[in-house]
Amino acid sequence: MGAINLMLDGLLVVLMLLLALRAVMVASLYQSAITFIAFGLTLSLAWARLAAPDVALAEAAIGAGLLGVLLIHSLRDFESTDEAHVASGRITSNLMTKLSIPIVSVIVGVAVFAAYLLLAVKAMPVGGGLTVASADALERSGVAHPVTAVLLNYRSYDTWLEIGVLVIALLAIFCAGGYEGFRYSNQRSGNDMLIGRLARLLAPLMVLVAGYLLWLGKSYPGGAFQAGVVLGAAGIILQMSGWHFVEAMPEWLWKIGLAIGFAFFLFAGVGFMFMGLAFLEYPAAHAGWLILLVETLATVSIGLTLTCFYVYFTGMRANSAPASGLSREEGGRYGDI
Amino acid sequence: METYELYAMASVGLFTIGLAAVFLCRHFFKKIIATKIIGAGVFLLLVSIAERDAELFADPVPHAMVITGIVVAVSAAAFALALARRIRLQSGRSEFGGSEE
Repeated sequence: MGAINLMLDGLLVVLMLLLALRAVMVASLYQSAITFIAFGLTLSLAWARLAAPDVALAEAAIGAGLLGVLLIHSLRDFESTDEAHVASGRITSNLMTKLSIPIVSVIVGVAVFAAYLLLAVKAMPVGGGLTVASADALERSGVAHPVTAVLLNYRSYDTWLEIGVLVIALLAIFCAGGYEGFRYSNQRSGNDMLIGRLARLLAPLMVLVAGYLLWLGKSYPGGAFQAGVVLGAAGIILQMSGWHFVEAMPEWLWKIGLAIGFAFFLFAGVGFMFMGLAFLEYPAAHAGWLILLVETLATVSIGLTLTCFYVYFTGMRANSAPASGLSREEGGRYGDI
Repeated sequence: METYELYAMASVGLFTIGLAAVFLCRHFFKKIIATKIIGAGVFLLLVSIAERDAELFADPVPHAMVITGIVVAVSAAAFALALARRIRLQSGRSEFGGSEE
């Protein structure tokens, strides 16, 4: 049994490395994006093999799903009349065919670097780890799943700031492309019957799944991030099929939705300081429902922020004057993503 | 050999591939993908260490770090893509260096 497991793991590792190599070596950007999505999916299999189902859920939905959508959508801007990307891609693929002195030295350098890293990984000290410490405190954390306990109780400071990073990333994207592009995206869509039907079928189900994952986080793999990602995916599917709910939202509601996860986290953290607790420390008796409330609002914010990432991306062209003269029809050859 | 050792070695491979590609690939799009691969390597190492330190369950702290890390990495990548697209739309360029493409 052990040998078979090891063989499967070995195959997965080889597949992962080959996909990563191909994603950066292949000449066409389109193939590079698709290979990268496949790489993300094999990576989530690796998380599952390493007994990290929480990570696998997050990776499959966001690393492979959301980023894949963003990557393929941005190909519209990069793929154009010029063949620059093909040329620049070939420079790296030529590494394999022409062995000149600089190229050999690059390969040797990379190999030496990898060997040193391998030695460093081998030398990593054993016996640290916070498994015991987190297991001891689990009873007082208000939840039964250790990962959720770390995320929302022991290290909630990190999680709080991390939700802040999401909002800041969205603001940075606004700055990079202009807020107007987001508000008035004129994406033509909603004509596709298949995706329209699919959205009607999937979106309610996905909201349900998000709620379930959120509730599950208390005692099993799941929680705010996974639920938020599923909610974000539901939002993206709705937007793609022509239900422009982000644009239809009144602006105040939209702003509150984006900020509430971060804001309530802060509110709960500061609120109990008046009762003599530390910043972001919850009273043990109420930790359970407080964590659930914080998680629920964080889920809404994460979902909405991820949907806005997508909505912004589709709106970008409409706002910025296209320098390449590429029309939407030409750019749209990869489907209505 | 334990499972986690295999994945720890794979993480070294991913990190190296990503780092080399960040320098060798010229197109922004590929540089962004390469940084994502570096990130994947780092996450893989963290999770394999968590598996090594497992007792009743795997060490939850690296797991939590990786979950938040995945979300942050995707936001950073989304921002990078937005910047790259902006540069492309404004100047018609999609790589560093002197080429006017």
